[in-house]
Amino acid sequence: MKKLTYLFLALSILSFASCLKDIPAPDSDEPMKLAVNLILRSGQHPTAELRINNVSFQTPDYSQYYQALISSEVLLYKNGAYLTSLKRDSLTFYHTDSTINIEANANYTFSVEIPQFGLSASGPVITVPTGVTPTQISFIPSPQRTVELTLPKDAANRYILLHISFVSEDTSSSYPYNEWGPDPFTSDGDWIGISQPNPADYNYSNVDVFYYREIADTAYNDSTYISYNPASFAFDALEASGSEVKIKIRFRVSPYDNIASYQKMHIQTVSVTRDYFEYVKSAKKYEQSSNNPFSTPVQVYTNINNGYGIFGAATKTSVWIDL
Amino acid sequence: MKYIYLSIVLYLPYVSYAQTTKSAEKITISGYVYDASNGESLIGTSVYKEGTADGTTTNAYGFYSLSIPAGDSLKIVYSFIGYTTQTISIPERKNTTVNIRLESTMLNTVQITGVVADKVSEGSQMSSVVLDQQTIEKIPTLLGENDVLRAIQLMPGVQSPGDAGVGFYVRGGGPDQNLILLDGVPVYNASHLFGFFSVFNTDAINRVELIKGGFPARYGGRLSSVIDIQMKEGNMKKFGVEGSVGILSGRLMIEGPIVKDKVSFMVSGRRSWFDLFSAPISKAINGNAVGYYLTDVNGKINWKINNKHRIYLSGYFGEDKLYGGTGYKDTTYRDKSKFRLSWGNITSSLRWNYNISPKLFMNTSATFTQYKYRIGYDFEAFENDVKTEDYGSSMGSRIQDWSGRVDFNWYPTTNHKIMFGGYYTYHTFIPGITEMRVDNNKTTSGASNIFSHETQLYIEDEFKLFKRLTVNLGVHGSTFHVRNKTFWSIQPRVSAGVKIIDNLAVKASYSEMAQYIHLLSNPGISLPTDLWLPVTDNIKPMLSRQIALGVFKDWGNLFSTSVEGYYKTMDNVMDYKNGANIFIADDSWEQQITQGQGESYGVEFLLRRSTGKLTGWIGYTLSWNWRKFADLNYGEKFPYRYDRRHDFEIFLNYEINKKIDISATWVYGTGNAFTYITSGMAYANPLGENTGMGVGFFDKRNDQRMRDYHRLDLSVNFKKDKKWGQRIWNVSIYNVYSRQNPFFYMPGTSNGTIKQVSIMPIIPSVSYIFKIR
Repeated sequence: MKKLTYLFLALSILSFASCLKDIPAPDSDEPMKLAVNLILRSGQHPTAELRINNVSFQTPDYSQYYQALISSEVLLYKNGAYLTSLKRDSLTFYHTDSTINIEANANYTFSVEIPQFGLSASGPVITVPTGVTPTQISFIPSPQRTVELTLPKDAANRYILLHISFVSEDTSSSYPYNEWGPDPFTSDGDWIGISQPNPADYNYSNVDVFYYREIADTAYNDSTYISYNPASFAFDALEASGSEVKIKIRFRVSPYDNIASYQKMHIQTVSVTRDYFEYVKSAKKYEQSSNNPFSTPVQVYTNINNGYGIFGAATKTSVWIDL
Repeated sequence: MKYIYLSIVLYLPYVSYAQTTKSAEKITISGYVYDASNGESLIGTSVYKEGTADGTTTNAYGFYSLSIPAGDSLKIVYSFIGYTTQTISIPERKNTTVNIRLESTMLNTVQITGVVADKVSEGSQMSSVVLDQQTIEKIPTLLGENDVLRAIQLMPGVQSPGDAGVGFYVRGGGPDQNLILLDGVPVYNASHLFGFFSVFNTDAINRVELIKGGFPARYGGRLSSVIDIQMKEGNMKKFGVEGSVGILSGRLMIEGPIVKDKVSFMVSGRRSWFDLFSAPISKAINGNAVGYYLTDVNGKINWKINNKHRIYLSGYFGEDKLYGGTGYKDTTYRDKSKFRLSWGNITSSLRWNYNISPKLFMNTSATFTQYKYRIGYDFEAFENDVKTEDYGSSMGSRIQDWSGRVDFNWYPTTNHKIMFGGYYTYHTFIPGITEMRVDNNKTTSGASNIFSHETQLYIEDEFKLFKRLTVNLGVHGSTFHVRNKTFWSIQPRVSAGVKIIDNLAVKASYSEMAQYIHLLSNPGISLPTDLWLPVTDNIKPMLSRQIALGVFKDWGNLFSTSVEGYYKTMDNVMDYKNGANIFIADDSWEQQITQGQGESYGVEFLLRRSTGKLTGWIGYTLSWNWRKFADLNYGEKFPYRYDRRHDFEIFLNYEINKKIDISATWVYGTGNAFTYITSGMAYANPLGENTGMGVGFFDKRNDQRMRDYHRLDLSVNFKKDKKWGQRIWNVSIYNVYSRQNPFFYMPGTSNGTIKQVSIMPIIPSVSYIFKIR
């Protein structure tokens, strides 16, 4: 009997001790490509992030690639003419030119190359969009808990991302406010904000938000649940087909949560280029699927010729509402 | 294809002519073949005139009809594997009904006797395998549970998802391309315990047939395979009880005559044990019962009214339920939350067999099948015993079918067996209803219900030409009406076998299939939340064409071997678009799907021995499986997840003596294809802030391979005859050398590594089986 017990114990240990195991990553035969993130924001300096795909610290002669990368220059063109070259800034680790600002309604394109490794990439010609500011905003507190806002007619046929967050005073922080909310740019339940909150300050576990939108267009006058799909919360005004866009968002929070404890509401609208909009949507899907080992892999949208990443433009407007 | 239709049109008058000109010179011997010990129908029994090739086989109800030239010394031979062959003389030169009861050779001896009935070199059917209950019971088990679908996974051409469960992929097809029939009724979700066990209780099963290609025209509705599971009919002679007690569950099956040789019944049930322990323990610890159970019940009544009429009523009910809760309590405050997840199938079937004449057999049936799941959550809180909070949510989904069908078997001449019929199905799809509740205020949302009508008609003839050539020629037509749109399809089917010499045949087949419903499923794992949905204006029917060629050889009565090659193309196969939300509860599901092409080809080898002390098989498959979608992988074709270059399986059972038998299986498969994301960079946030989120890049989908899969299972049965019957101790070891087979990969803990997650290490189990006779 004793032997049987030992045998059982040995088998149990053998069984469950090693279900997780680090193994060498497979060799990749993917071609080496440049990855570029270059988002032009009106009124701001152009800033690009550069990488070489499939090159990491484990890559033999990694330093050669790294040196080539940081010494490369991103050539930026405006309205068909050379504008500037973005160089590596050792403080920010980005390629940038802090002497110029991006202009709305101007056309831009770029190119970059690392000839010693035969790498080059370029982007399409894009137009920096103008900003879109809501013309009317109202917040109806509990029990409706509804935000109503109207975007101007010129918002039609454009790609607009919307971000709404509620803000409460954080007395324990050196920053004035903490911010939370249904956020199209991070995963559900994540906390982002102008100031990063200290998770210990609040009991987050009871925050449970549902919301939907109503667009004042006869073709889209039904209420659509968007709950827990941030990607679909980032919508484009194309759906409104040229009319004034009215958006009604109702927050249904769990009975635990008291929305009255928040002092401000922060609404940001970001007008973006079409490619950038597609990138945002696919990147959100990538993030969602990356947490699920069984999900289908997501190829993040790119408009970089012969490379990865995104060349886009965005103009942000921001409105604060006292609650 | 035009030539195929033309052939059918030209061919039908020939059959009528053959009947009218020759039937006057012949007599028809018809009847049923039963197991003498229990009265069960013996499906596939060979019935032939002694010394000739004139013969037939019994159909799915044990019926046969043989028209042969009248003669003075007419002897008919009945043979079935594992049973003593019987030869009877027909004294009268007129149509005769002969019901035969064959004695099993397995009761008293394990020596080879009789004639191997299911010779692979016979007939025209290829790409099929038959398993009986005895074979399934010999295969080593996981946690003591014999499983028909795990047995199917051991066949060449069938790829298992590894340790993930009982799903299977046949010749490059997806998991929803398998038509699983239980007594003729489709079963939509065949898994218990999140896919680790099938819903089929082996005690209730009589026979299983897997068809991977060369589909007879009577089958339709799925692209890649048919699993036709026949339940036991119930012992017509005497009562019997079988059961087992294992680590996972207990089973009990009772059968017997209600009226001897007239009416019989069979009832079997199974229930798992987990919650019997977990619920009281968790309740004692924190006041909330947490548990999981699976249960299923099979039942069948079989009424042999007379030689012409017979009625079957069969049903299945199965359910899995996971439940639990949490709570908190202090001097003034208390709260309680509950969650529950339940899913299950219900199937039922009422069938009427009618021998209209010695040459015409009819089966009429009405069936119902349903699969549903429900997830729920409730919370309530009290302050000083006054309820302060009360809210909850639930989501449910369901698919159900009402069907009616009629099938005819017509035996116009010795050389023709014509089957024709049709069926109608009314589908109801309820993709998902979500209900949110705060106090008594409820809001409901979800995808719209979908109703559809499916009809299928078929005709096929299995006939012999030139003595050595057997052909099965047929056509299957189907329509599917949904949302004011009707889809239709005509699918030619043909298979042929040529006997080169005795026991050696070459067979070929061509079949087209259409499928109007599909499964939205999490790739790689079967979940209760998988959704069946129909074609729509935006989602087209899936179609396949398959051609197969094989050589089949019987080595006396000992072995059978087959080598088959196949090539299959599929149109409108489905996959999720990039990053689609798999948990779909609204009408957006159509936008999350993309359709494309599939292609698979390969060679399968099977060596099988069904009689003697040593039985089992060795199977090997060499195959390639591809997918191509316009909006995936930049429009280029890529390997299917279950593109498995090499797939090898061996199952052996050796009966040491009457008291002990030992079994082993070993399986090996090339690793599944997966996408490895080599590197990435920060997410370009529209707000211009660094959120810490990153995005990865890859060029080609599924261009890497997981580590190869292999596993050895062993089991020993210790049998002892008792006064009341027999008891068996079964000791099984799953994954004997505890191979860490990959289930999925995650990012590694250090650079240059990935983390492999394995879920099924070595798992020993013991179960006690009793058979009361």
